[in-house]
Amino acid sequence: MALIYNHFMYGTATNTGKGFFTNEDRGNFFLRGYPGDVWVVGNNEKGALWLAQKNGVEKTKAEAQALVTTEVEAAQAAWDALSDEEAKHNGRPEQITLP
Amino acid sequence: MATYKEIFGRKIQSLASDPPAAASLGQIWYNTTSQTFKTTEPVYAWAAGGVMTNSRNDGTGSAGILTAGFYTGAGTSPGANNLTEEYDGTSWSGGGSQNTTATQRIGFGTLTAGVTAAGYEPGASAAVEEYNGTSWTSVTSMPETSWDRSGCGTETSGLVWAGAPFGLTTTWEYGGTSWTAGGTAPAVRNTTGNGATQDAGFMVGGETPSASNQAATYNGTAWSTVTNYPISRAGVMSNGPNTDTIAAGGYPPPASTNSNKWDGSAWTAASALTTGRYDGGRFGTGTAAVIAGGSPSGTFTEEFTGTDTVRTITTS
Repeated sequence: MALIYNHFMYGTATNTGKGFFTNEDRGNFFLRGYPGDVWVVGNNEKGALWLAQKNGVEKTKAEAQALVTTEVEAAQAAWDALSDEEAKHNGRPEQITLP
Repeated sequence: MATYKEIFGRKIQSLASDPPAAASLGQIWYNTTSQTFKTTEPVYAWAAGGVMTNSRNDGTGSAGILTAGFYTGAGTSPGANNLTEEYDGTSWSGGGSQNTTATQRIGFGTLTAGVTAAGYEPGASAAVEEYNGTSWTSVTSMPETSWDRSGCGTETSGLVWAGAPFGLTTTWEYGGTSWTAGGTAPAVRNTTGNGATQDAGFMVGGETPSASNQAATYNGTAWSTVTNYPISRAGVMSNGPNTDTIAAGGYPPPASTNSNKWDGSAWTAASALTTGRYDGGRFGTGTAAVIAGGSPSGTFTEEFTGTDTVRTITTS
């Protein structure tokens, strides 16, 4: 049976500000942030270490996607409640598909 | 052909291990252990900055440098606010409240001599305010109401151009007390603009109403197009003078992480943002820039800076 290599790890972690991810981190592993404190992290040793050091909670891709979708749907509901005047100056949040 | 030694007076050093990056910027040496030529150069990337207290989207009322900037107004999803936050290169703290509550204002200047102009209250605004690092003062209004404009420069040499409603092509030069008409700007809205002074403006992308890849520069009299931005994006946040610009983000959705560097003649791909966004705050230079907030509603800040890094020289 062929092994399937996952290029990314998924997790949640709270952005604590300066130093949460550094210039050096960016050179060491892939990193993207999404609504719901969801982070997609390059699946290598340094990426895994970063998520652990940030007290991150590892998620499956499906779990992470569900968290993002919930956040986006909440933002969409808030947008839908805007008056037409307010809404025309803010685009409706669109669903995000994690890589 | 002259040798390296003839030019520089000595051979390239042979070292068993790499010197510290901080002490070897720009130097070349031969690493006898790895049997490779090496050098140290700054490697630029977007890294985490302080987290804002207020989530801000749909606004660019921001200005300053990485260690002394402000972001004011903008939406708090939903709705506008008049709150200011100041950035010191590490964290955000509360500043003075603007007299005008609006989204889609444009900012330029510095933390202690800042300007915001135009905006949507709702209803288009012509309001202009100046910031002294503590409080905002309402000053001479712009000659027309508008929002989603671009801007750059200083409190005594400022520039505001293009914007909404769609089709707005006016350029206004601000001398600190009054506004005078400048050259005809490209008809786009919703891109921050950047530039050191009012005779060196720069803009990237924007809505036409579809997202544009147009880039253009202002010389104090007229706008002229330059090499197109690599992708078509509106809501792009750009920093620095028109000869050293870092631009990032934008839409159409999903919010983009794309980032590109302009050196005055060509675009090159830069490190991507970590969090995709558009319509956020921006300030700084082409090598020490800040992008904060933006849509989707956010409090995150990212800083574009370089770290001295030892690299192996390769040939092809």
